[in-house]
Amino acid sequence: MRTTRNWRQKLSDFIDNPKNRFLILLGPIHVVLFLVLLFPFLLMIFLSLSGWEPGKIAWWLAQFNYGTGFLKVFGDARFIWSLARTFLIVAPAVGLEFVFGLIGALLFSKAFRGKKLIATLFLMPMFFMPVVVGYNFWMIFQPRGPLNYILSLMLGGAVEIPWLSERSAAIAALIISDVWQWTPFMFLIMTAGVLSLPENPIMAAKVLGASDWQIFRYVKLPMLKNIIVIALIIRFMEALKLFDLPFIMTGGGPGFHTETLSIYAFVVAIVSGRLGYGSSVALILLILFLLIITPAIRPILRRR
Amino acid sequence: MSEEVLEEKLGISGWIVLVIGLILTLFPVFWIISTSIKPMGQWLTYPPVFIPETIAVENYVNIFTGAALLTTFANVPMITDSIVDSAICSVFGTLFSIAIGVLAAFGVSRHRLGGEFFPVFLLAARMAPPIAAVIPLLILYSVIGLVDTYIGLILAYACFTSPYSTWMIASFIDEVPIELEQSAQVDGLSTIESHFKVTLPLIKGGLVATSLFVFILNWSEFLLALALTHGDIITIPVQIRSFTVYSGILYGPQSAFGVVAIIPLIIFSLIIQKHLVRGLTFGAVKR
Repeated sequence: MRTTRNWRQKLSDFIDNPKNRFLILLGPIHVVLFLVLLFPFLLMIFLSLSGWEPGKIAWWLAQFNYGTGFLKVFGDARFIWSLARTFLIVAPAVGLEFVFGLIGALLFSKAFRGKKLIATLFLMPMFFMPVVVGYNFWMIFQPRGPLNYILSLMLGGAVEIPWLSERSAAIAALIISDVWQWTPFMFLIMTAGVLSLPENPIMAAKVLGASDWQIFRYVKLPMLKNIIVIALIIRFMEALKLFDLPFIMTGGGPGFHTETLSIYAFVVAIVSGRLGYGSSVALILLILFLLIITPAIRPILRRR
Repeated sequence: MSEEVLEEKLGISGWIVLVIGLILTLFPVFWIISTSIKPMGQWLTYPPVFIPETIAVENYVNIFTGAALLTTFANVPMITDSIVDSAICSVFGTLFSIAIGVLAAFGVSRHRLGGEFFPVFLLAARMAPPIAAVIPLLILYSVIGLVDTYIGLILAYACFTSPYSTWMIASFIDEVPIELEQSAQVDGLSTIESHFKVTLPLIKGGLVATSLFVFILNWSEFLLALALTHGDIITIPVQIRSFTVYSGILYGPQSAFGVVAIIPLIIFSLIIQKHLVRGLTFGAVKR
């Protein structure tokens, strides 16, 4: 009986002691992050310095290559192209998502019937599993699928665009699918921004006779600047990881023409099992992202 | 100021834009539902069938029973296993993520533990490409035997969503006045007790919203599941992909599977609609 109370007392003393707060509150998340992110990260640095591939020898016996693995990655045209291509897909996609989202948000600042229902419908694509979106658009983009059929009806002649098997058409198909899925994200955040705009400056501009465009350009847009920056950053960082859609829709093809950074790393490291070389690729990717992330998260932190 | 006075009505041109937007948004939704109820003969016809005359319920039945289609060489794969696996990994991954997230959120929000660095680290961890972490994680998992296990996937899910849960819960905690905890401490509760007995019950709604949000992320996750499993465990997204790879073209059942997979996501998203902005922006934008 006494020992139980003693034990309990000790535990509650331990919990109450401010010195242990870090351990109690941040300890668990650190254990998980260490196990899943940090430890593998150290392993990755080690492996990227060796040309280790599974099956031949144990990983800790692999020979050091003194960083030549990294040189090989930068000399790999497939890697450089996948880098360029990722931006080629992501930049127009995020740009279009932003424009459409902003237009939607401005429309929703007006009053109309069925607003709530229509907003819910507009948000739906965001909750589709990316894999399902990929599969669905894969069906829609078939050469003899519904999109080409609708286009033939509209243009009055047979349209047979090989959406998924021709280089630029495949890039366009990926952009369209990404825009479909993620415009709702921009719409949602822009709506939050537009709703939080103060009424007085807008009223004042109206009284002074400003046109709708002028009110948007010189009153609303400057006040929305912060939230626009945050939305663009978050969406852009997410989009750079693009994997699911091209993996399902084109598998990186035709050839390597829709291979994004994530797909390239996945194919090189996991599909073909070159884990040593794959580690070099992963490390370079990580450094590349950190270079972009570091300045990018400042505006988000400032909001808190 | 009352809103009715200020709110302008949407004009004709606005309605036109709205309707075009709705058609573009809803057509793909319509297409997958329509394909999921098409009988086999109408999957590949040209011109494509938009509204099937008969509803082929068998597409939905077959994916649960795994019945053989007489005219094709392959069975329709059964999806019950992947639903169970996805549910186990998503639910426990979510609970785990929320558990460590709640603790960390109190640390960050109430005590500024981890200083400037920790929140930045969390955000960076979330924004970094998962593929960069998956490659070494796969090596680690194959060494310690966690490939193709529930624990391995649950751990990975919890880790990758813990930045979301921490940031989102912290933003809910921020909204509870600290004075409530302080007055409870005067009444004899310790600091940690006051977190859990005073603040936690007040953010119950926020915790539910965060859990559903994290669940949606886990349920849809593809890359981790694809890399860290080899078939003993199969999640829904991995199986949706394997339909096309291993079973030939089964438009109807695969679409039906897609619809089934999405239903919980749509329901959950409706429940948490008002907290979405906060989740998606790591609490940077509140509504």
